[in-house]
Amino acid sequence: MARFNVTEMKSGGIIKQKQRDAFTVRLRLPGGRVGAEKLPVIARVADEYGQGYVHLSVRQTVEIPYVLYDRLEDCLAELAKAGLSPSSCGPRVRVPIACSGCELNPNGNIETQRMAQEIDRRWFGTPTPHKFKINISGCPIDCMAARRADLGIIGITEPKLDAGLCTGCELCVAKCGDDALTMTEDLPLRDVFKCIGCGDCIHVCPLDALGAGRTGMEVWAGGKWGKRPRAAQRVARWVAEEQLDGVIERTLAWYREHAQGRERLGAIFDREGIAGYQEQVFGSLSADGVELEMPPAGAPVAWKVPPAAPDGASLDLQGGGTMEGRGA
Amino acid sequence: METAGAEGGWMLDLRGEVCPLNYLKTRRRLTDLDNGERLEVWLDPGRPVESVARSSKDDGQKIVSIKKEADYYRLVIEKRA
Repeated sequence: MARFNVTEMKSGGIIKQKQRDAFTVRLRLPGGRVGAEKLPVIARVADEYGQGYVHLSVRQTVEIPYVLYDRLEDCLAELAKAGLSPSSCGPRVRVPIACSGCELNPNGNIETQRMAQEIDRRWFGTPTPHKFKINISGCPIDCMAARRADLGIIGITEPKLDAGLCTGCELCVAKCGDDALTMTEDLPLRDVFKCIGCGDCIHVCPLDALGAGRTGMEVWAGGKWGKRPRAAQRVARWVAEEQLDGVIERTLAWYREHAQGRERLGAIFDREGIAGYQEQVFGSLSADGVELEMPPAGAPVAWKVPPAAPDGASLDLQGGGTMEGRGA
Repeated sequence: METAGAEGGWMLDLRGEVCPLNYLKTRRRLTDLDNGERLEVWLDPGRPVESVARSSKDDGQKIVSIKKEADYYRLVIEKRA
């Protein structure tokens, strides 16, 4: 009988097929990044232990189907020699998925790959009431479907205007897909309630009048796919990378505390709402500028509200930096 | 259409030209100019003006000004690279 590394088996990644004695080995490849030197090893193992092919999974990993029960141990040993190990499955923190982020993509606002590696190192296989998936997108285009994850992270950026460089060409106004910019006194005025932080206005500005004021993360929670898909809810904005570990730790603690048996995070939100979750996970961060999309009842709205101009419009242009306002 | 610009620079009307030909024509025209010379390019709104301005800037040229007209943009580029 094959003997297995207990830790490996506990986390899963070895999936029983319908064929008797056949298993699919799912690899642990956080962020979908895999060193080129590992690829020949995967190919050889698929040849020698599987049926000469691999399957690319939905969550950015490689699966080796048809590994027979009595060869599993040798197969895993071969993979381990190249630094490859099985993924996590079952009621645990799964291997995070991530795009290339700001490392390669001009739209990217955050170091998605670094986060994926770090989250995986810290939380891989951590037991949870039900499966727990973390998706990381570098920008609001959200290729990684963070808005459908148990915990989704989206990189955002806040435009900052250097009024001295702006010539009023309105390219940014035309580019904004969210109607967040309007020309006011020949300068773009931003509606903070409409702006989603994508940075399109920054990228389109040919004069560098618009730059990144700050970058950070939106956190979305409670999403899932499956038979009964549920969209995640935006629970916080402007979370910093160094705050992420605490956010995950408190999220998992809240999840364990509030789950009634085997249920996803979103199911608890459906029952209890999200205010309590937001308070426990992000409440301590509000002093650091983290904003809650839907603050707990009675708490002040955390969005920055611009000073009202005398004529009723909300303006702050002359400072050359804030570029904030609220449209009608 | 190409003419000498009003300020002693050069002018290129690329309205109606598709991407990326508008950028390629701008770039080719700039190679004939000396450093410091200016080229005014007329471009359709949306992707044409966005990409010609952005790509020229990425090439190391200086975007001097960009002005919105009724249904097109006037982009003035100073050759630097």
